[in-house]
Amino acid sequence: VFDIKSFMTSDIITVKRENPISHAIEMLLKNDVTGLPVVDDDNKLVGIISEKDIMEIVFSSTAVFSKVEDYMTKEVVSFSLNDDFTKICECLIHNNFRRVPILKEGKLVGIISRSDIIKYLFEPIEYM
Amino acid sequence: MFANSSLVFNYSKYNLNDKVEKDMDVSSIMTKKVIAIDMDTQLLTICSIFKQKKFHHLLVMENNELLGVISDRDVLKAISPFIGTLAEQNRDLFTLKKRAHQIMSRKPLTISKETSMEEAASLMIRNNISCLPVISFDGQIEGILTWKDLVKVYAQLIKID
Repeated sequence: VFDIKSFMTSDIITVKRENPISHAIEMLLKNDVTGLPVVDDDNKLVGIISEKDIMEIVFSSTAVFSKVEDYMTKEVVSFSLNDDFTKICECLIHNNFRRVPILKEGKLVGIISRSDIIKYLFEPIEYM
Repeated sequence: MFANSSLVFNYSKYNLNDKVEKDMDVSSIMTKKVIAIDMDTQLLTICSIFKQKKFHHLLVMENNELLGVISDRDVLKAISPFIGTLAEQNRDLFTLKKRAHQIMSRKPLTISKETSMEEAASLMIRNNISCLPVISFDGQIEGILTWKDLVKVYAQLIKID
C-alpha cells in the first residue's frame, strides 16, 4: 500500500482570499513555487492561486489593487490521504496544473506536485 | 554537462523610480545560461536533473540547434504506463532507458531577444505554456524566458520587494 503522506509536501505556504494580489506574487517569487493554496481561518481550502492566474494580470496596472480571491481558481481538483497514488499521477499528467492539494476532512494537509512524484519514483534508483 | 543556471536580474539597467516599460524587449530579463541535453540523454539522467534543479523544462539541442523541450509533464507521461509498477517496485529499467528524443515535445514555440515582454506574456497565456526559448535569427539558442522572469518585472513595477 502506498502512503501519500510519505511524499507529499506538508510544510505548505498558503495565502488568504482577502490578501492583496501583490502578497501572493511576493510569496510565489520568494518561495520559488508555482502555486499557492488559498485557505480560510479554519485551514479549509477555498482556492489556488498559481503562476497562470498571475500571468493573466501581468503588466496590468489596475489588478495591483485586487485581492487573491479575484484571480484565484475556485474549483480545485483535490485528493484525500486515502486516494490512490496512480489516480494522482494520472491527474497531473492529463491536466495543466502542476500540483494538487491533499485534504483531510476539507482541511489542507499537503500538496503533491509533479516534481514530488518524479523525486519519489526515482529516489531508490540512485542506490542501485 | 549542464552549467549552473541562475537568473541575474539586471536591476542596474533600470532606474526603479521610473517605470519599467512592458514594451521593453526580453533580452535583459531572460535567463542566459540554459541547461541543455542531447537527443540521446536517458530518462534517468533527465529525472536526476529535474531533481537537482528547481525548474520544469529542459532544452534538447544538437549542434546548437534547438530540437525540442522536455517538461516535468513529459517525464510523468513517459513513465505513466509503468506508474503502477513503479509505485510497487520503484524501478523499471525499460522505461528509464528511454531517450530524450522519444519523450520531448518537438518544434517548441520560440521568441527572439527583440520580442517585447508584453508580447512574450501574451504568447505564454494564449498557448498555455510557462517558458519560451529565445533563439537568434540563425537558430542559435540565446536564453530562456520563464513566467517567473516576467512576474519578477511585474513585481518591480508594482514595487514588491
